[in-house]
Amino acid sequence: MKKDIEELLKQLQHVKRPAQKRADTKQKLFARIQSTKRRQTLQYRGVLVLATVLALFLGVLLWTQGDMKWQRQASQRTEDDKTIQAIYTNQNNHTQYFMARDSILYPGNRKIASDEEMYTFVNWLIENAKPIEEEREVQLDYSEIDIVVRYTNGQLRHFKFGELYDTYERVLVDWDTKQTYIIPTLTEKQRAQLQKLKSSKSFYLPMFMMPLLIASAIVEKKIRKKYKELSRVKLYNSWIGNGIFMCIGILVLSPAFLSIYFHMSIHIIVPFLLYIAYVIGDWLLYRKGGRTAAQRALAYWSYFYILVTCFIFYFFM
Amino acid sequence: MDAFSRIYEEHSDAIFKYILYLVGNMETAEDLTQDTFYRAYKAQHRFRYEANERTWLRKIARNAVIDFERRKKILKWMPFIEKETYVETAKLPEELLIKGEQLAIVFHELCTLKLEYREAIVLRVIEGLSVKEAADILGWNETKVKNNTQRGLKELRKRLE
Repeated sequence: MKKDIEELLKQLQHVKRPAQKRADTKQKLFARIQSTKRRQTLQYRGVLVLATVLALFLGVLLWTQGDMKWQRQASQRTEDDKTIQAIYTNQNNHTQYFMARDSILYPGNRKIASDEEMYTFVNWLIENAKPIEEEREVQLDYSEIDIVVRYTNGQLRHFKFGELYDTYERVLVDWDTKQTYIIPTLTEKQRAQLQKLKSSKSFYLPMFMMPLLIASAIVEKKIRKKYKELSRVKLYNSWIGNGIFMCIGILVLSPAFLSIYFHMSIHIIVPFLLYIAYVIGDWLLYRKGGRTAAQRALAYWSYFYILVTCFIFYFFM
Repeated sequence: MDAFSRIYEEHSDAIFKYILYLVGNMETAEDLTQDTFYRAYKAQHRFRYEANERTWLRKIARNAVIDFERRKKILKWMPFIEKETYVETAKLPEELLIKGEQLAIVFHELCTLKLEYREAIVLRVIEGLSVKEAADILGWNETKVKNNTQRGLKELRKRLE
């Protein structure tokens, strides 16, 4: 038996595959290939439709919420109408820059809509704040919050809450005219209202980031497919790969660039964290062309972990 | 599609046999052969034409078998799954059964060997590939191929004593 083992093993070469089974397998295989092709075509169309709808949606949002010229011109027509339509706030510690915009799409912005009590309070503040004497030198010690008030006639007014350097008086700076107003003494209830206005946080940026991340993942997948699904290792070594990598980087980091433009250091952190998660996740996923369950799990975990960190950062910090 | 059909006609029998030696079951081998060619179809643009088609297909088949073994291991830990679904019994094709009981015993024992030993024996002894060719398919160095073949044969002999 000992000597024959290799001989016996060699005899296994003569196994014959039944012709019927062979034909059945071929039939099943080609049917599977056809169904995959059909599914991929549908997926491609689905992604295109989704991307178009998303682009249209963002376009409409920008169009309807942007700080547009016609809105400012409208104010000249009905100057008297001072009913507040909406208030936008943005926490900002810089005394030199104004960050709030009349859109929730800007990082850190929050819209206060349909809060009559708050509208009345802000209106009261604007009307009762006492203008500072022209000859007095004004220097802000620190800034607390920027607000944009939009009236029903379309007029926009920009104010900054802060404190004076020398007298520590609380002031309101009209950012359009640069006129500074001293805030009058507030009642307990009004102080609570002011506190509520100042403690507003942005809930919109993470939601704004999500479509960006998803879009970048889809874009990358499509491009890789177009260039014959190059593995990540090969991608990084080619000029096309470097181009793709840079495009994705710009796409994902665009909110960060926006943040830098508006001098909002705190908002740079989140996109960077998300971007790092994205890169680490993908590296794990495509490392050496391998896609084991463990690598996939680690990649998804890193996405999830960083995303949760970002949400916690936004809601509780 | 025609080119792929040609590849299937040319290599499917060899790939089927290779998988059969590794999994020991005709039905499973048919399924994994289908899976191998499906994977090959999806990855055919990555195939370098200077490379040997069969070597490339063998590598894909090997990955399919490894995935299959992994699934079996996971199933073992799943509650409410019957043992029959993950325990494969080695079934020798009928034509070889006629050749004798000894061959059936060898086949059965081969299928219960450690996967690494089985892989080395299948490529080196049954298929008669050189050490270099086997090392290329398995992604091992040549020493490991030699060692695993020797150890596998030794283990097989021990069991058959």
